[in-house]
Amino acid sequence: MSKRDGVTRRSVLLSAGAAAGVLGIGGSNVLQSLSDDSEINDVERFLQENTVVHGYCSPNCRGHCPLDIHVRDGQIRKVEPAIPDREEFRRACTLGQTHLHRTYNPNRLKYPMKRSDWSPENPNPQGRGPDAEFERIEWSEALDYVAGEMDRIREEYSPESVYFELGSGGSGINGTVYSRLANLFGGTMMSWSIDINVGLGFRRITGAGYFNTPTNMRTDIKNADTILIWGGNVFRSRLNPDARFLLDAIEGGTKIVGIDPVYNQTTAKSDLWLPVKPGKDIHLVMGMIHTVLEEDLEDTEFLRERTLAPALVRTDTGALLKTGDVFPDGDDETPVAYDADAGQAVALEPETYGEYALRGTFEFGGHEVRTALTELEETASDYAPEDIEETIGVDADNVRQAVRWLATRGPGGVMTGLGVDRYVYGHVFGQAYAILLALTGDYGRSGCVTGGRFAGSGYRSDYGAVEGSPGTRRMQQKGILSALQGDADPPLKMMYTQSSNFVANQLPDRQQWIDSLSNLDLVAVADIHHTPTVQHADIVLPASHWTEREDITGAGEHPHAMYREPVHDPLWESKSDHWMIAELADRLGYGEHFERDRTTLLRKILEGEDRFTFEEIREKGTIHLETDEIIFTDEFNTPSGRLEIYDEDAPSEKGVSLELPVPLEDRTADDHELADEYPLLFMQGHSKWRIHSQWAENPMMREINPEPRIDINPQDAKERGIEDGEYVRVYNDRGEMIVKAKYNDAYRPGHVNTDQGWWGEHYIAGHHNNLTHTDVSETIENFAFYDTRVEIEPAPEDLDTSKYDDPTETDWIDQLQHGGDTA
Amino acid sequence: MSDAASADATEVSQGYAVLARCWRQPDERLRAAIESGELAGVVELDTVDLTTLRTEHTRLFVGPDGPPCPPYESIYRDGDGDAAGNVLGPSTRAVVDWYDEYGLGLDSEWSDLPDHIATELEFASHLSTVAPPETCEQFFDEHPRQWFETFFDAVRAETREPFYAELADATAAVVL
Repeated sequence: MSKRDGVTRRSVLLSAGAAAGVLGIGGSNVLQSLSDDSEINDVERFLQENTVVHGYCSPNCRGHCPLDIHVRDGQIRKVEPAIPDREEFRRACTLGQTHLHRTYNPNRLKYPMKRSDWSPENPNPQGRGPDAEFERIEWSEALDYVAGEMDRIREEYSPESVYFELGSGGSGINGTVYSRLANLFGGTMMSWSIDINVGLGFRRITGAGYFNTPTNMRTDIKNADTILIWGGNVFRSRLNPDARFLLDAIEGGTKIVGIDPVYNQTTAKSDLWLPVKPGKDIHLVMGMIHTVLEEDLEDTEFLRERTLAPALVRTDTGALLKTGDVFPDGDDETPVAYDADAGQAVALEPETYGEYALRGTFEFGGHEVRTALTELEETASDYAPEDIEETIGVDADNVRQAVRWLATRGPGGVMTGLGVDRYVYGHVFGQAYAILLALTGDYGRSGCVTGGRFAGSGYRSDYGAVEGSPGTRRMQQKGILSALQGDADPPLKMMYTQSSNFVANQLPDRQQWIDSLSNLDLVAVADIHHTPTVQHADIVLPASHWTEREDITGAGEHPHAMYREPVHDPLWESKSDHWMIAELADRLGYGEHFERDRTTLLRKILEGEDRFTFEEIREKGTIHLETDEIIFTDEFNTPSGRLEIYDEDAPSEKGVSLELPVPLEDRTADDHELADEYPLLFMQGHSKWRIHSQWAENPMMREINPEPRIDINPQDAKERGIEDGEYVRVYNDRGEMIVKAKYNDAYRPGHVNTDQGWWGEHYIAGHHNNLTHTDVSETIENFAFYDTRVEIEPAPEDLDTSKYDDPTETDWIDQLQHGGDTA
Repeated sequence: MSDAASADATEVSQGYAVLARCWRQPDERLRAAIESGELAGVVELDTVDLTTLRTEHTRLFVGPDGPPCPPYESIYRDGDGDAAGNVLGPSTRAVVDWYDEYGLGLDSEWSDLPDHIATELEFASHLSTVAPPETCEQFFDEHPRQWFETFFDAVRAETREPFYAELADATAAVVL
């Protein structure tokens, strides 16, 4: 058709105009979206404003960075790190500074949608997945569907058959409000099966630890003289929150020992690198414990005052000797030590120094007893660094050097990452290193580093579950999987997912989770973006972006509470999770318990806070909250009040009782039954280009980090006939993925890595979580993502790789310089 | 001066308005208009399934996956080089200035963006009744003609429903 062909134009217009009547466009009433009304639409109103508003970043990141959101013409133009109340916590990473591109991303979820072939009468679960098609619907319709199914399932099955899946994708009040509804309704919620392994092992000794292990505030890192950074790449995955504090320490002379199978950005900055083989961390700690005791480097004063080292252990039962075993007026709880000065047994009270014998065998009350330290020494005697050199892959001299620095240079400790957490028996590592630090006395002082979760603060609030709520059924994620598969009473029949991309992307053995959804009548997903989990939804609920929500949060790992002012109203018809929940509550008969006005709700949530007012935090953005910089200064939260280096209530694993740590391994064991078939250990490190699976779709980040790959030692690659940059098939007995091989000497032979967080659609085929498994230890249901074996071969010849190598489909990549993460 | 300008102003204006309506979410009225033949000058289809049409509209223009044919001017004009732009870019701002110049703003109940194809056509409908043809041409030059063609090409390539291919052709005939 020729351009500006007046005749055609006129005839089309006139014939189109003929339909005006039936479409309800009468006479001069041609305006639908436009109006000459004086009331201005929000989208336009915010096209006029210039200001800077308080913001903060909200993924499941440990940074919780305060942000300045610069607004011009009513839109975000720039995001910068804000200077918080306590200035030294100023920071924000590349991700946090791309909120402009997240907020105005054309691919955001815009309107509520329903899978076209879903209905309450015929949920048609097989229609979910990559080929699902959707139809935009009204909010009222979407919420009626969700509330209607909640009601029906409550009647037909049980309220517990409704799974409220709260993920970690957006800190703020959304989780508080969501849990309030779940508790009123009496649904099922999940407890974590991720990141709790080392923390819970450490807790047996210290009485603290859950998500990773607690330590002093970041500002105290510089006072450490020696830090063993263990299983965590601070200068990559924790670059923003932790790295600069660590650099201050390095500049001040702190010795850094990097303990990691991978030569990475952090080990590169270390004074000493201990390249421990994957899964041999517990062996290495035992070697260190042996070294401390053999070289008499232990802090005897600390051991006597704050630990169970002098506690006497019965050689017949393995139980601690109690005052009741020795004294007529004793009890069956208080442990006993031998006071060498007094020449007699005494009760071992918390935080009490005495001239207790640290080593030796004695006899009391007819029982042969030995000190806990002697028991430990004997257990560790099998692990002299020289004897385990080959097993762990670390030179004995270097192990001893690290121990000498740690024990003799002054305060220090172990800064844990979450790498060791992702092996089945990671909890024994938590137990073991807690004991190592007990020997060196690294608790409760400035300069001690006891873990990886730094002291911080949150606001105080009494706002939570409504009194009299039936409460929720709690299951760990491993149990949720069984319940989704129908193996629970009552089974799960629907899920309402908020801030979560778990089921279709982030959980191990992903296909099992996706398959389990076939048992559900309704999958409702509230999110900002089209995650793989959204693609499996029946009802899609578009959530507003963080920048569009007024909110408050506790910083968690820095000492602030923070406030966020919305930049403008949510775009399209996206809504805050709070709004959605209040709407559902109305429909379910709980409306009276939900405040609709956001600001009023925030005020209500802060009613229990007596250190600052809502007006103050709204004005300042961040409020510094006085927080102890040093932790573990008082009696330990253990039965004895001491560090329980001997745990008489220990669990067992594989028939091994763990009063003292014993190196245990699952798939990393050299003689594991899968070792021949799948010789490569597969880790999925955390990139700096994503927080879990968030930002995976962000065009700015994809410019730098365009596609998933597998890091492989050239030796392993050449043995398999794999060229650098060639597509390979990574597989095991559960599944596969197709990615590019990247020759990378930083990974030792036998160890390969693909960064986690990539979405299914980013792979040529498969997914990294098609390879991982859901096997957990007997003690702690913690998913062991890195405890995975794979084999690799060149990818099939007929592979369709046009997603990445067809120039017509990759203009946006090819125009850009590739760079970034090469380690 | 084009012949269109001399046509009955109301009918021309309604023509643009009908096209605008056709680019929005399909409803029962649209189905009726198609099946009754009253839209024959735009699309010629005997029957149409409303659910199919709505699903296709959602897939092409809404989501949940990044829609293949986002119906906003800024996507096509405000990116770096050939890269797609974000929404609410400088070109959005510029089209809002046009609306503002004629005393119009987005209706307060309207949830979509100001540079949606339907709203630009709707503005053309209004403009054709209140401004001289040269002004209408200027608007077309500054906005619709800057991006409609690329958008229509995407619609023709992506759609599985003849309705949208024909609607793209009809709108192209009017605007380009």
